Amino acid sequence: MKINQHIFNKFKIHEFDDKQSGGKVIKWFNDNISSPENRLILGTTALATQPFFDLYNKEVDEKTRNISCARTVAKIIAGTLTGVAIRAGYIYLTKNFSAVGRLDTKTLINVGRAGQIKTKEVIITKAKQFFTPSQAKVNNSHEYNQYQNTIGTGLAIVTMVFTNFIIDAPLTKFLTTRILKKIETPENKTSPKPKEVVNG
Amino acid sequence: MANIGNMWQSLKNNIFQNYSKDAGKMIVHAGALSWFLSSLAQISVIVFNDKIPPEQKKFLIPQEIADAVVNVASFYIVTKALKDMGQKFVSTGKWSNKAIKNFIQGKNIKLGDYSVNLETTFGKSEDFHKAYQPFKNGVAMITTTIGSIISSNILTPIARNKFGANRQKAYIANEKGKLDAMSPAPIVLPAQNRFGMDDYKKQVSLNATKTSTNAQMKI
Repeated sequence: MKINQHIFNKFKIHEFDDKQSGGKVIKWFNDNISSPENRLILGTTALATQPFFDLYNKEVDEKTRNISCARTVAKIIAGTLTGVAIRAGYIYLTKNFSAVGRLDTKTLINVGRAGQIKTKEVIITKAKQFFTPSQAKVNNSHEYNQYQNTIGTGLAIVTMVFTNFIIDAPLTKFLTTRILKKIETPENKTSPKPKEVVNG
Repeated sequence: MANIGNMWQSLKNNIFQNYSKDAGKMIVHAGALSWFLSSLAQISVIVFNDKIPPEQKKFLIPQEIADAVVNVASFYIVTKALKDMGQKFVSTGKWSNKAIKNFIQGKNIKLGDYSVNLETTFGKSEDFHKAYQPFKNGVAMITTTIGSIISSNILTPIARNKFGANRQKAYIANEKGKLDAMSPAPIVLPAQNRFGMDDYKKQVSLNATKTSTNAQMKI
């Protein structure tokens, strides 16, 4: 028996009730979580875990630990801010330029987050169909919403290769210096130049 | 021009077919791609930085590549494994909700059996997909989020710190070796100006920090 199957068999059959906590959590994740929200959760939990790995890393000396922790916090803040904003921005843009329907007719497009359907009326032009795939038949389905999230996220990732250098690196450097000042005690004070980092 | 238009249309249709029914797949692929591009940017910073001497580049570039492999692999393997596990639970009916159960009731399906696949069994039924898809996506988003937290925020930093510390030790040993080779006779400085072993270690540790430990963060 395969390992996966062995683990699988350990679990019992479970029916989730939409009115109870398990079912509510699944529904909430479906309705509210896509790539920007996922990135935000990742950033928030990173802030709660990663600095401690650096601060309690006994394999390096105290100064290294402080610098490492300051850089980590700075990178998480800078990366999360740009990561979430750029993803959300591109998804919004994609939703506004992927209308399904015949040219010059009015339609309702979805501008809601993740699985939510929140519509806005637009007149379909060629520009409004820039991201529309020819196979799409319905504007506001859950599946079409996933497609729009994917396109928006893809564009965001390509853009972030550049914003890494333009925004994240200087912001990280600035924040590292600030954070280092906060966590250093007078005894272990040092002023190394933080490394030029590329992050997100 | 027509070709570019066709290519664009075909790309959009391809993305539509592959990702519209699987939100978790998008998160896994986008996450791995962003780690990869972030690592690539980090490596290119070193490659194109004239201020870093070629000797140091020889040391730094392979280390950054090793970092990149750890980042991308741990994200992809852990997140995808959890996502696939969650999807298996849903597609076999081991995890379901009332809407899915109602649809299956009365049909000869052994729910929760490893070989069952509700997606293929009811592939053509739109009503089934209306009930099934939101539940499947909800589970996918939970499992991929948990997977990305475990890989990006727990496993990767631990592995990176371990590698970073080893790298720092190797760097210190290397620098010390060079210094020993360069100055066979000890230089005795007046006590107040002496650059002791402790100062030396601090200096080397700062230099090593500038180039190592916690390299990059997912974009």
